[in-house]
Amino acid sequence: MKNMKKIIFAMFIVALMMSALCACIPEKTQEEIISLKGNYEVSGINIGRYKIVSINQQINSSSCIYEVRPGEQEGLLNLFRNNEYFAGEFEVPSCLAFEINSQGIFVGKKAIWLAKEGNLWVVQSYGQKRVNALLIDYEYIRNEENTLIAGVSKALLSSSSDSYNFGKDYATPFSWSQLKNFYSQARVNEEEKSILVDCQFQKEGEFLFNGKGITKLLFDEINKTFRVSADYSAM
Amino acid sequence: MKNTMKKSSILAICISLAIVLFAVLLVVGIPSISSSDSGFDINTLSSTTEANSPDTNLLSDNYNFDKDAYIMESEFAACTLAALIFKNKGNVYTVSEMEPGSCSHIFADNLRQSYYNNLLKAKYGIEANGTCSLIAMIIASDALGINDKIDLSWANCKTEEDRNVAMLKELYDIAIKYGGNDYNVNSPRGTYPDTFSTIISEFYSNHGYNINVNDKTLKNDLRKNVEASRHEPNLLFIYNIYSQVYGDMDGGHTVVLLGSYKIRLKYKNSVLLPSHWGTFNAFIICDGWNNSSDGEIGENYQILIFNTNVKESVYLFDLLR
Repeated sequence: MKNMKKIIFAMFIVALMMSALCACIPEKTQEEIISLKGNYEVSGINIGRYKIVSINQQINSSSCIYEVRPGEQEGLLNLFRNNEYFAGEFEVPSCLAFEINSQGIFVGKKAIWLAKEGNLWVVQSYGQKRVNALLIDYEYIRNEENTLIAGVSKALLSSSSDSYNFGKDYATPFSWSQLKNFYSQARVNEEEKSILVDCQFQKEGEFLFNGKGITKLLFDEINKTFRVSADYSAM
Repeated sequence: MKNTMKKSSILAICISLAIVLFAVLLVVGIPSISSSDSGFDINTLSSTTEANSPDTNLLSDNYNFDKDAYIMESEFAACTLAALIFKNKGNVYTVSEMEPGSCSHIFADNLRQSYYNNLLKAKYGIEANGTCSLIAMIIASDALGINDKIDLSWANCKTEEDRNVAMLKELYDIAIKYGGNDYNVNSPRGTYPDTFSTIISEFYSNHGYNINVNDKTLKNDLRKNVEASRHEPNLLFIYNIYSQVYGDMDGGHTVVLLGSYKIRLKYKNSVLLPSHWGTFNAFIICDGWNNSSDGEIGENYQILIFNTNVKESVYLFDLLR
């Protein structure tokens, strides 16, 4: 009688332990292709494959939120760190890109930066299992006649302005050593502290900006400002 | 006494086993919403086209049935979803086969909203989002041939792309004059459906072309009601909509209805009754997101499928009557 009671009690314990163990089994994951979204200024970046619980990408947003299992964030972040477009790991500064809507990015917190010819993606982890990757929007610098435009990332501009024009100085939150990493080495002139940037121009009698050219972004290290030159050469 | 003991130990064993079984089920076996809700095994379906398409997994894993309408990119996925929706009605025992029936539609060039938003920003310095209704108006008027009647020298346009950008700018300017329409990049409200007629009428009137817009609000049995009301091209504004490619479209989406797409389903109402073939009405649309010159479904065109029960009204606009 006593033994029977013990057996029944033991069976209950085993059943409860199994239930608890089953509840602890981690969420299902699936290996997914990780890629960063592009826009009309830049094509996307292929990052690699990783085991993901879910991917949340909204149609009107450049942000993509990856959910991984707790403890597996670092593995995903390392994929971004090892990418050929990795440009550094530093704090997200207060800038035009996050002035109205931060899109889930925490200003002042460390982030991974990826860059492709001046177009920037910022990657930040939050909580135990989420990673947010955001393509930062760009602003067009224009000439007065609106016949020439050059896109620069909104992260490069410290604050908003009524207009963005060639030849004018704009404050930037980045140092020269950070800024130059956002472009390929071939475009950077270390001595002059300048970078070659793409621009688009209106060909004679045309409506849209169908001409492609190249102009120069000049960095002022003392005032921590930059300007884009209106002198361009057609490609 | 012994019997009572035996009974209670059997009962205890049963309870223990039930707990274990429940725990195991929790982790391994809770089936996906689409198949569990209907008791419908997607693998019992066969299709006459693209039988090995990977879309089957996409459907069974990710779809729920709380949307009023679904934008589908492939014919196979559209047929499968139609079968699932039809089965979910409740009075159908099983759907054993599905296949594309007939397809007829007028032609239009789908425009990519994000591309034109970018051109609007480059040309005019306007940063806009949520412009699907304005893009749909351009697509629909192209299908009607009205765009060709607009003088290309207007705003110095030389190509169709130039003209589309200039049209978008003018439609945008008209739209923001009315009823709180808002195209803020971060959280756009977009275009209110009750301003559609005013916007499009004013635009064409500016260019010496008068157009009557007949608008209707439809609810209940949308597969039947939209089919009965369509007079292509129509603009359709749907609040509660899902895209196979882009997921939930928060705040609704406007598409251009260009024709019909019939799906044939073989079904049984009861295990004892014989099978029947039935027709499920779907629609050919341009979604304002994709663009391709090949004119294929999934590229230039998409398939729109309405759910059986709908939560919100759908707004349908005829451009010519």
